[in-house]
Amino acid sequence: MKRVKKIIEHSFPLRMSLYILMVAGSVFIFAFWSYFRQARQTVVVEAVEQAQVKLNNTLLQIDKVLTSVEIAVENLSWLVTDKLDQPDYMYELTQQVLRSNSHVVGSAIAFEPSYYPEKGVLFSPYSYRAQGGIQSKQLGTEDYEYHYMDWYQIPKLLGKPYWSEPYYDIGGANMVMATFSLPLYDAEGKMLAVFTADISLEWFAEKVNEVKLYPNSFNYMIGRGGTFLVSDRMEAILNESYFARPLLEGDKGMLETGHRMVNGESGMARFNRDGDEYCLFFAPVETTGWCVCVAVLYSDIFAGIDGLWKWVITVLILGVLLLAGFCYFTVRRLTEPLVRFAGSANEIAKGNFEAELPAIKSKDEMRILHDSFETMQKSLVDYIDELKKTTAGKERIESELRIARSIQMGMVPKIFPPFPEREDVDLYAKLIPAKEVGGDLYDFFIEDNKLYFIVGDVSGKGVPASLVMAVTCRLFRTVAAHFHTPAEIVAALNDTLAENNDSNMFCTAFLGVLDLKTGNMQYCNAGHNAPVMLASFGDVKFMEVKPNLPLGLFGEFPYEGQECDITKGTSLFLYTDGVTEAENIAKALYSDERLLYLLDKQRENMPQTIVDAVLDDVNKHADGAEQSDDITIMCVHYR
Amino acid sequence: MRNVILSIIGFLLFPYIVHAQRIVFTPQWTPQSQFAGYYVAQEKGFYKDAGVEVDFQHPSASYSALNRLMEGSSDIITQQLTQAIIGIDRGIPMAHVLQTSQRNAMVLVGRSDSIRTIKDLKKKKVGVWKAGFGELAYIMNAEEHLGIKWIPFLEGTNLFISGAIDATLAMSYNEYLQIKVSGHEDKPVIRFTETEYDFPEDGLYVSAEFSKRYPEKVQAFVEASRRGWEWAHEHPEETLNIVMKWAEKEHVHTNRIHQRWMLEEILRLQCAEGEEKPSFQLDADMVKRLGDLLLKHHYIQDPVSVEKLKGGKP
Repeated sequence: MKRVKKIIEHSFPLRMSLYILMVAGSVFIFAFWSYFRQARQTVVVEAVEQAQVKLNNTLLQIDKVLTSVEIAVENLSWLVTDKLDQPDYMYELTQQVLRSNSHVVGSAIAFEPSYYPEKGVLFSPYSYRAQGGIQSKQLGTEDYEYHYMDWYQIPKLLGKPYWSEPYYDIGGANMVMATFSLPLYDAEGKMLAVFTADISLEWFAEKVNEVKLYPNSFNYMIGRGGTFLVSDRMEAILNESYFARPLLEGDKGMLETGHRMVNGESGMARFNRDGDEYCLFFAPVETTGWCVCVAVLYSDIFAGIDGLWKWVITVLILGVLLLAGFCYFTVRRLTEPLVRFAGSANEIAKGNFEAELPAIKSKDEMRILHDSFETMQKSLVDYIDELKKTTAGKERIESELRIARSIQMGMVPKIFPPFPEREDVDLYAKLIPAKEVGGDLYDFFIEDNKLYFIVGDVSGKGVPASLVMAVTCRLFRTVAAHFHTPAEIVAALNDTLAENNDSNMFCTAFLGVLDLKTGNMQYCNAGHNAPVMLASFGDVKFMEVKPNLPLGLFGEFPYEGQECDITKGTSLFLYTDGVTEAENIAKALYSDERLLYLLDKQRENMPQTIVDAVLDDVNKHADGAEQSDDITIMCVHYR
Repeated sequence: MRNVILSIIGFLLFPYIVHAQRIVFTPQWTPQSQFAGYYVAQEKGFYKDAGVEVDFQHPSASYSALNRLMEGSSDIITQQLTQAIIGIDRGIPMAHVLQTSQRNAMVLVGRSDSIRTIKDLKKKKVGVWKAGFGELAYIMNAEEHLGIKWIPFLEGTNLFISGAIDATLAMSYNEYLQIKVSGHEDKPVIRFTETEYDFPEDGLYVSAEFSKRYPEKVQAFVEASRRGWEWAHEHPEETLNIVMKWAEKEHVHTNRIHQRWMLEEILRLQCAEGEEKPSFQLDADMVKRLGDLLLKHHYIQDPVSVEKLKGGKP
């Protein structure tokens, strides 16, 4: 499965074909579904019409025969009342009924009990068909009390003609039959006899079963009480009722259909028998109130149209496969140059900018792609040339910067301890530029047992700052030789730097002169961070410095110097703002507080240890964030 | 030689001995669930276990169970209590041996919804079996001054379905079921169990002569019959199979659904009100009350008691 998915994912023609297949397949399926749905509805309508026509034809035939039986009796009924004085003539009359209508299997004129006292209580002349022709007999006996029979009692009670429900006539015709009974009345309206004609149920069965709509359809007829009169199940005839099953199963639908059937309605219903769905058409025998039903297997109705399915599905599958194949090959032919373009692109990627492009003869999108590739190839060649030149230039600058760095680093003292021969002072300093070259500076020297030292920070960074730094460094040494106090040295530096300072560069600086004999320190601050004093026994705190102005801004600025005495064991910590303003990723500053806190713990240590500890802590704070400013630290320990 | 002679004598006497031991049993009608317990007892071998051989002989319309007993063709029959009381009063030599029914199965089914209570039957045409069983209904008609016009019918429900009568008497286990399956399942019904005429019906009756000659056989038959009914209560589905087998054997036109409902109803009517199991007992008060009613309406001449029904002196 994964392999198939991979193949599909890696083939555009295949994927494209599948998409088209899905869309086309869906459209085809929907179209055919709609067609079949519509067709099935039409088939149902036609089936219903056909069933009803056939059913009605049969019912008309049945009703015609039943009516003819009724007429046969009614036509002779006047003779009964006319010949009442001739009881034996009644035999002749019943025979006439049989002769006049071939469907009649028996006929009786059943008189009210004791109507003819001379004939006994029961007198019912009766004729029936036998092998030797029409036979007659007297029906009423002790074992055959006809006046309790339905065919006698019901028309008498109802006072109108009546078709009996089919019954097995024991003692009479000994067959299953239905009887038409016409009550006869005397002049006073008192019933004197019931004139009957019997018709065999077999005849009805034949008629009902003539309706053969579909191979699996079956017919039945039920009486007014739901009893099966005709059925494909012989055991059901006269034994079972239509209503028993729906009542047992609680099938309200079938129950309602049953009521419609016994109420003389005609119509259609659906029901299930042994898991098969049937369509039931029913219509009444108007004369008797019985109901003829034709049950058609639902699938039979659609047998014709459903047979088409197989053919349609075959065509559909073949059509869709053909379409898929056509799509696949067409799309593959159209997209084939893309594969070659990919090959060319790979060649170009490897550096072969002159790689050959696929030949395109068409003027479509492939041509546009080809032209774009060609333009890209040319542009790439030009660009690479340009890049080569740029890279060469950049490399040269970087090389020069490396040299400048080493020159700049060479300008600050880098040998520590600087005064190994002296026991009264120790000093350590470090300069870490943020770029190749930086604008920070430090310097120191001892003359006449006095330590001259400076820490400075030129505005800006990079090459311009480094130049100012270099100038300032050189000037410090030169100027310090001619002036005595830090304020004078600073003023001289300021004046020199301010001259011709068109680029408005400036430099903050702290300059100090420590008398190593006395511990007296003179100093001047030019806009620089206040150094931290680490007294051996006392506070670790920022020195009180006057701000003054940075160097190089305004010439002739009156710098004020300061002085203090420091005791042996005191360290002086000087730094540029690259320390306290070092940022971490979250842009949080290292801060004065953190510096003081750290220095407080380091007060006992020697300068190099203190400087390294501070740098470590700053790096820890930065936590990998890029150094944004030059960092310079100098620590002087007086001992 | 002696052995041979004894064997020949034995062989000649054998049919007589067998005949003497056999009981001819006749229920009121052809095989149906109404008599399920007896067919069960026969099929499951309960009679055989009890040491009696039973020959089932069914009645016909012209030769009823009671006639068979009177003529000696049957030894034990089933009868409704009312008919049995009247029969015994008229001198038919028979005795009650087992009471299966505890409740009355008769119902009155109205053709229209306007018939809801007994009073609604006033001056109406009501169907009644031509064969009998109508005594309680006649008594009710007289007691309640209803003036019902009784229309006797032979069998079936066509009279009712055709609308020729306003209401009909029916057995809840038979005709009422037929009415229900004729598309009239929701017709109003008045049950005798809901009236003061809720008297028990079917029971076993033995001819006086047979009872006298083979009292132990009768007792064995009664016990096995009772066992048959108890088994039927516990195994209704198998019982139904047995009934259908007998119906088929005797060519009775019926169907399984009808017999199922009949069995359910018969078994229900065998339990007294509020009981779940049949007692098979005849309630003396019930007999007294029924007897008094029958006496009052001149169906019998002398008062009746359980003892009298069981063959003792009143």
